[in-house]
Amino acid sequence: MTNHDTHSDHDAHDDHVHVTPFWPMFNVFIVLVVLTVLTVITSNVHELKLGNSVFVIDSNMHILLALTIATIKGLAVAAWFMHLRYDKAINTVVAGATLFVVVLFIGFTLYDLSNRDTVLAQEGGGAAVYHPLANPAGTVTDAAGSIFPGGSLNLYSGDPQKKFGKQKSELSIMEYVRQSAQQIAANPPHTEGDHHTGEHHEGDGHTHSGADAHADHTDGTSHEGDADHHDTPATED
Amino acid sequence: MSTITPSDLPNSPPPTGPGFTEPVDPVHGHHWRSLDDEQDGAKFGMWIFLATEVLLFSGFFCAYAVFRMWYPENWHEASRYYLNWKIGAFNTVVLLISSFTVVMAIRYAQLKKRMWCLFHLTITQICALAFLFIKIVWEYIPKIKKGELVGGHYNYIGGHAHLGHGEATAHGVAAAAGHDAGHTGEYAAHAAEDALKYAGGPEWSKNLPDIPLPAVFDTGYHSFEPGAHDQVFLGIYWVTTATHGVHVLIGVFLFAWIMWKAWKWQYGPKNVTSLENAGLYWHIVDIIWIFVFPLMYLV
Repeated sequence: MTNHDTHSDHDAHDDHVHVTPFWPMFNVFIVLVVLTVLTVITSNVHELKLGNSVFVIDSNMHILLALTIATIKGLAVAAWFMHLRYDKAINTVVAGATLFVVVLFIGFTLYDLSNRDTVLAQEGGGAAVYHPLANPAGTVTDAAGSIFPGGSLNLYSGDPQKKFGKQKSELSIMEYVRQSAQQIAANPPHTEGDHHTGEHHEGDGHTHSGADAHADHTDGTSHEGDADHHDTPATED
Repeated sequence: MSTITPSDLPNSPPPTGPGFTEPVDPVHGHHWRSLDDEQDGAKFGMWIFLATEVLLFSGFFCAYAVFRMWYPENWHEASRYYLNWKIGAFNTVVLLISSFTVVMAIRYAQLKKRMWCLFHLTITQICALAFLFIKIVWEYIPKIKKGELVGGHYNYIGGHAHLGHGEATAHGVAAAAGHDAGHTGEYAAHAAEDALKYAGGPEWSKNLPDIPLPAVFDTGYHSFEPGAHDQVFLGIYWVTTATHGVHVLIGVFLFAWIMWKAWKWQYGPKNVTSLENAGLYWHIVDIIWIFVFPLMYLV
């Protein structure tokens, strides 16, 4: 596999042992404790006064600060305690690649979930409150009555053929978004009050505002499929 | 033992030499080119394993990030109410100390100072057990008793807005419920009893020990704004910290084995690989906690 002769210089290092030093490690330990105290302090600071200017530290800034400090601590542990400074570079490559993948994983998940309504706004216009892939026939609300931003969690829980009249796999993504946006345009977001769960419950007091509420179902969409997705997790007594 | 060695005879001097009074001589496997290669390979393999560990926890952190993005205020309140930052901070320092003592154990193994190595490993063990003790006694058990549990098991009566009123104990809340309903006398008692039955943790949790929280850990934060997504926060809290706790527990057993090896003079300047790899594992558990602490307890 490899030429053994080229590694003769490597064997010369066999006698050399890197003894873990005391003071650098102790200093790193002290720094880690100090940073722990610092992260506790910063979490309780909500305003920073520098001269005449006041910087407001909101909760997002707190997260950013805490993550920055935690990252410094983590890197210090990795570099000194875990010997990456003294080891072969290949271990650092593994650690760096892992860090990269984690950032990719979490970063793109957040980027995706926080920008879906932008796509909707461009395609359907103005219906950025909840996004088109969620549940076109009605809003998904949570126990507190606020619109559930994770409505997309219901995306594949139903039969897409029932919902959209066409298999999702047959649509391109943008076609899918456009179609959903049209449905929303025809059927603007409901508030919880006129939530039309009363489809199968006669005399429940809910009145539907005529045809426009169901205008989107003219393309062969069955309404039965939707009823399953209307039940909110609300805990009203 | 077919042969009788001098040490088997009565009144013979204690054995000396590698494995008895000095480190054993490291021998590399015949399939390795050199001891260096074998040890580097072992360490590299450990790092690959650590990568999978980080990816395991990154899933939890991802779930955390998504729900924190959606419910920042709820997250803030839930963190303040359900979790005690003083316990979190104390446990952070406990883990940092244990990480440092692992590093020192490696140092003294390399210097052939066996008892110093064992001393530091003992501190590591004590810290690991202290971490688990604090977590179980003052976080997990009270949470189980109150019903602040994961997912569908979440049954915390304080979570109902109309019953809350800052009452922290199930008893207080139940009494308030009976009172709020405008009932008096026996009827109120029944209502309170009913409320108690459906509040709090599972039946078996009543038998768990109830060790009061030391005053130093009291954060003085008892006001409660119930959030609609408290159970989501608690779910992520439980899964993340319990997985981390299991790792700490594994570390306890791992270091018990390491201490046995150190006792047997298995570590020396040229053979600390298993000690180093156990240390790497312990440090990654520490790093994960370094991220869990501010995100869970201080957000």
